[in-house]
Amino acid sequence: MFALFCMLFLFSSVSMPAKAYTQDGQKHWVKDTIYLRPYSGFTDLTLQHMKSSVSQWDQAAGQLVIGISNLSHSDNNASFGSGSWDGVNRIMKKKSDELYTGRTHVNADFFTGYVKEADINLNANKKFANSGQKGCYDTYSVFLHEAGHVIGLGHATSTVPVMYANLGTGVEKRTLQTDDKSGAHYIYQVWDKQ
Amino acid sequence: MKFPRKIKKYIVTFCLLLVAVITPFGSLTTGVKAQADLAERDALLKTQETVLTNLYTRIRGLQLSIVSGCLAHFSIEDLLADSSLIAIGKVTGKSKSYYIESIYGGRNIYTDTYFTITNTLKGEPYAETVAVRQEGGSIDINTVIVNTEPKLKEGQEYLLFLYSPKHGGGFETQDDYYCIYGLPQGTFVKAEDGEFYNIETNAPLPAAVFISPHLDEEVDEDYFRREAEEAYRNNLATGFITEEEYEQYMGNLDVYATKIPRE
Repeated sequence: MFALFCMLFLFSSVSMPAKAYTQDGQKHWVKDTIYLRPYSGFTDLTLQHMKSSVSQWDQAAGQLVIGISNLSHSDNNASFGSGSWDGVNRIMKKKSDELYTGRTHVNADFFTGYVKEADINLNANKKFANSGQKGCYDTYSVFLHEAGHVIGLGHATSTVPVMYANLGTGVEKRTLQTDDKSGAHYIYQVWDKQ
Repeated sequence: MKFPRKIKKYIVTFCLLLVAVITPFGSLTTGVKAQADLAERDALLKTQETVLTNLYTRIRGLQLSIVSGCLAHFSIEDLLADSSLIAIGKVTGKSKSYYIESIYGGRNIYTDTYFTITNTLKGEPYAETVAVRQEGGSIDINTVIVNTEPKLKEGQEYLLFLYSPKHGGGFETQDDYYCIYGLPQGTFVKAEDGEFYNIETNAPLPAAVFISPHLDEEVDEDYFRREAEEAYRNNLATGFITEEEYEQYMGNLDVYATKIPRE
């Protein structure tokens, strides 16, 4: 009996790894699909990567939570994020400080947590390429991570998921991991429906 | 997990109901005291209604901005080599939050944490107590929460890897301040055992840090400016930015943002 208990315990420990995803510190989530408008200066390949990224999150969430608008905007100097909410969900490539590869600003309703507006910036102050080439950050990987913040995910506590806090140069993290998917699924299929 | 959201709603609803319930009693008392003057009671009710409406409008108008991001990875070696200042000290206070207006006109909220240095491992601080600028804070109806900023506690001892950007182009200003290099990656808390542990991972600070040859190197004040220039050149080559954007970014390296003092 004891041996059976031990085996069950061991099996459950192995088959049910602890979750590494987190919800963003101040909980927020998307009620009406957020359509992000990219700056017109992004290349077609980068735009394809952005569309592919949001599609992965939508699949994981089990509903259309985030999309890329067919409309672009032409003002890369537009005010970005906090204190500058203008009703447009922008994707930009402005200079940010040297600590981030990308940043997401979300304006959420204070009481409900619903996302009213979201802006994503890929930091022009860091080296970017549309691949994980040596010395550069991969635009796809960074954008995929930032889109995860828009839908309400925080940083993962293990290094494997896309939502891990840090990214190195020359690294491609273009596919959502089980833990990323579990996080999106949890927010939109469990937590939001409670 | 939905509890906090509900709680917020309940608190507001409860407060409004409470005021709504108390108001007639208060008014009644006033009315009893001044039965002859019904007009005065009506005026009082009107005032209370206005106050409530204003309060409700103000609460509904609260702007909550949540900032997250994908941090660049910095190894301990990077932190040692490129920090402008590596110091041990204690958090002795915080400033009021303030706005910085970027060179493009947008505003963001920042708060300074005052860090009193007791031991410098690398670099020369501009004063015994230095300002560590952190993004986030509250001004009026605007609150900015930055999930990636380490939360420094007053009275706590830290070992911080700090840097001073020494170039403009965004929200950087020209006054004296430091930022934490790598954010949580460059923040180590002194524990009860006297050792320093990373604020996020709890990993102990490697003992090799204290004997690193980087500590004796002269601080390269232009490092972050050169890095920015190199990034723009790279991004032009990879097609991430256009020629026009390249010129703009390079030109803006000497343009600084404006700190807006609080009244």
